[in-house]
Amino acid sequence: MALNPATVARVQFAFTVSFHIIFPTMSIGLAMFLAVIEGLWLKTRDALYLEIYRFWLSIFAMGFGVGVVTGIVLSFEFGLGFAKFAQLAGPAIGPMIALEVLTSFFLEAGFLGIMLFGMHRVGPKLHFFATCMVALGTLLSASWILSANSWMQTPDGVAVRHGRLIVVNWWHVLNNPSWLVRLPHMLSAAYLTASFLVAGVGAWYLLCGKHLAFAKKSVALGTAFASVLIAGQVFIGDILYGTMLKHQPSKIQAAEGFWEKESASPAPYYWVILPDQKEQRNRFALGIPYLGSIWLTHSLHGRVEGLKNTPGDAQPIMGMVFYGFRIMYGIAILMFAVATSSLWLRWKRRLFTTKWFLRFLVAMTPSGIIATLGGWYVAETGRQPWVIFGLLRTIDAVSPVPAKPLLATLIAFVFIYAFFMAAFLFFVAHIIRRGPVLALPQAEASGSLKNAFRPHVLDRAHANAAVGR
Amino acid sequence: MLKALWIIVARISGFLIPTVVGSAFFFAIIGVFGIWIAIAGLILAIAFAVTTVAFVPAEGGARWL
Amino acid sequence: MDMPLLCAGFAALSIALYALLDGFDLGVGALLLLQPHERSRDHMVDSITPTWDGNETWLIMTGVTLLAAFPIAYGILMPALYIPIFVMLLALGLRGVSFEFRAQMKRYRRRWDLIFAIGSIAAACMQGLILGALLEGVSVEGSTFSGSVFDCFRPFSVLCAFCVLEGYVVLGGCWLEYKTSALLHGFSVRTLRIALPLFLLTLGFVVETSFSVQPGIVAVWKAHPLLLGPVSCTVLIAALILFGSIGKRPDVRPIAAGMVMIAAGIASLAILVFPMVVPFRLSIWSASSSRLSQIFLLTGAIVVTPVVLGYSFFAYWVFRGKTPEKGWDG
Repeated sequence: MALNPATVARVQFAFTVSFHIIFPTMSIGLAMFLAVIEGLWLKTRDALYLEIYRFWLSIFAMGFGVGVVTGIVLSFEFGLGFAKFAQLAGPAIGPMIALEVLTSFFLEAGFLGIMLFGMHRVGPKLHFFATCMVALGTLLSASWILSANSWMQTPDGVAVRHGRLIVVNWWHVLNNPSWLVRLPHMLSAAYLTASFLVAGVGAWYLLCGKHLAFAKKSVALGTAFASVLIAGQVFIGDILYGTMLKHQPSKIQAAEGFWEKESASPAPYYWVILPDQKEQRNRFALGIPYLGSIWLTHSLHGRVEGLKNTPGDAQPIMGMVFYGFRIMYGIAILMFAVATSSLWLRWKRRLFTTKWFLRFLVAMTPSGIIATLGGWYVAETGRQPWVIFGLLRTIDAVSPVPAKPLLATLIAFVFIYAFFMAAFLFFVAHIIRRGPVLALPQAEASGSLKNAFRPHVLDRAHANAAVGR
Repeated sequence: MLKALWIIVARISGFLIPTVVGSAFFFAIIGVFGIWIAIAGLILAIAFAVTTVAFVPAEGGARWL
Repeated sequence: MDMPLLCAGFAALSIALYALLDGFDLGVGALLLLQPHERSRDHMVDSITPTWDGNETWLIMTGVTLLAAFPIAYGILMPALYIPIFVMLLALGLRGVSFEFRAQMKRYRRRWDLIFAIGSIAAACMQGLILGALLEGVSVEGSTFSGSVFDCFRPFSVLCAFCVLEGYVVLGGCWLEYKTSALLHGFSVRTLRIALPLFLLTLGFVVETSFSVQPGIVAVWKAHPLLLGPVSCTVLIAALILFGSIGKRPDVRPIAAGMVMIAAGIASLAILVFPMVVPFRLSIWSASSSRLSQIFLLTGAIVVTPVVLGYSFFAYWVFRGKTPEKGWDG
């Protein structure tokens, strides 16, 4: 069986990076959520907020752990499967990722211990600071890695000399044409993911009739954040679409499902296609008439540019880009619908009692994750056949490693990652079944920073509280 | 009979109004009517969402989400 | 300003910090296999739980520094060490995930402890294997790896694997003596009394074999005996101090001596290998990245590393003293 090492390397990277992205997306969103919740607890001293904090802290910790270990794999995998890419792009993305490690990984790691285990060792204000630092770390991490990936999509600031890349202007490398649009898009995606996770769990409890106070607060908070965020996300998404149309037209051409250089007028908006890349046509296509022209050209009779505008050897695979995009966009529309319904139901005072809406929320629990995956598939498969757009093709970037070891490691990754996912889901199910744990009365601790440096004071307070003094 | 008719109108409008208004906002925000309408729609949508969640109690009399 | 030199210095600092800090984490993990009592095992894991994440991050820092400052070397070494790096990554992954899962799901602790221990041992062994393979030399043609991915499984590398594992177990034992209560005192003392001599014996074998396996090492000894001599002596003196202070007060002495011993060992490795980033084939200057890239990296490193060390130290300080026997749940 002759297996192409390039194909195996690509499948391996695709698998590991897809698996990985699920977890930081949750971590970025939940870290911010936890910071907000702890802030609300400090402000209102309402024990319900502490319950919510502790509930999501366990899930956050678990997801963060899986995210870290799958992330470490990626930082070495650049070299394992794509050594030529690493050698060429190292000067540009290497320092960015190095700064990501320095400014955010260490920050998260440093304060995570305090956040998870230091509740009784430091005062509430210092603990809140730790939570905020972890949230800040995730935000910085996203910024750096998005800059690196955006540079791969829209490279700038480098020159080629003797077959190597020289950085000419760091600001252009960092602030490349797509970074500042993709960053808020990813951050919103993460925050929306957390919102729907929280709302979905709350809705589940409401449908089961359990933990009502926790459930109502969760649904209220989750839908509140979602309603504020989704409008912005859709707006940013449209701006990003325009940016990519300018800098990576092949991606946008593939994303909409049109082949001909100019589509028919008016153009439909396709939802289902069966593309044939070899024959450069769709064997089957189903869409909503007129909507393509309206959404894509902002007019009733506009024509859409198809993939034949890109030469055959520079075309991405339409099927992957199209469906990644439709999944993401379709979920965005559903999220918008949830947001609209939630606001309407609030006005009607029926947010917690409308059964169809609660079931909708439960179904939408993982929506953020699926949409984020869809979006990243657009980003990465749409950039193909380039790994650095316009500079290096993916097949030219592969390591000199034969296919067999690559295949062996791929299979090993699949098994071990499946184990991680199974354990994670099992654990989350266990947490949800157990439900929120009532906050301890001595959680209303000192509030003074001074006691952070005198943990024995807190221990004595706990001892006193335990004896009922 | 009038009451039954009123209930049907209320049900339909309860579905139709948010759908039509929501869709209008969606079309506006994705830029179908141009960038300025998009920005206006965005600001309005966020303002409306923030006002609702801050001041409209989801049930009963309690405020603040 | 010799940018490649400064970057090499930062990479060396990074790998040294990793070996010293995650060394005792992996050592404690390995020792779990020797501890039959569940409560004691819980206590052992508790001692490293709050700070392990930051320790492991220095490994990523090393890899990424290589990518940023010496991408040619990164592109040669990664495929060359493909299998051990891959096994190490999965082992570290299993260890990392076990931390979280055993903390949250008490019922399955025993199974997670096993995974934790195996992950720690495998990771330590792979790191030793990588070290051995690096010292023995990697086949290079131009700027591409030209050998087979199985080249690194040679006797010398396997010997180094055991050596590093034992070294980490020594550090782990020292950490336990320092951080755990009387519950584990006997265990840590007994471990150190066996592990330290074993480590020194293996280390001796490694040094002796290295001369016949890698002529480059002999050349460095001949050229800089006055540099390598004292550093190697430091390793031995620290080991002796460590051995003498096992089980005695103050219990910070074993870990302090242990860290000096390992640090001196790393220093001697750095002297042996310098200035080759792909020993003994490619120098730091020929494997270098663009000048602006190295400047960017170094600026970030110089500005941020003190801050990182600062709050890392703070994190250790928050969890100072003996690990509470009832764990961190309060």
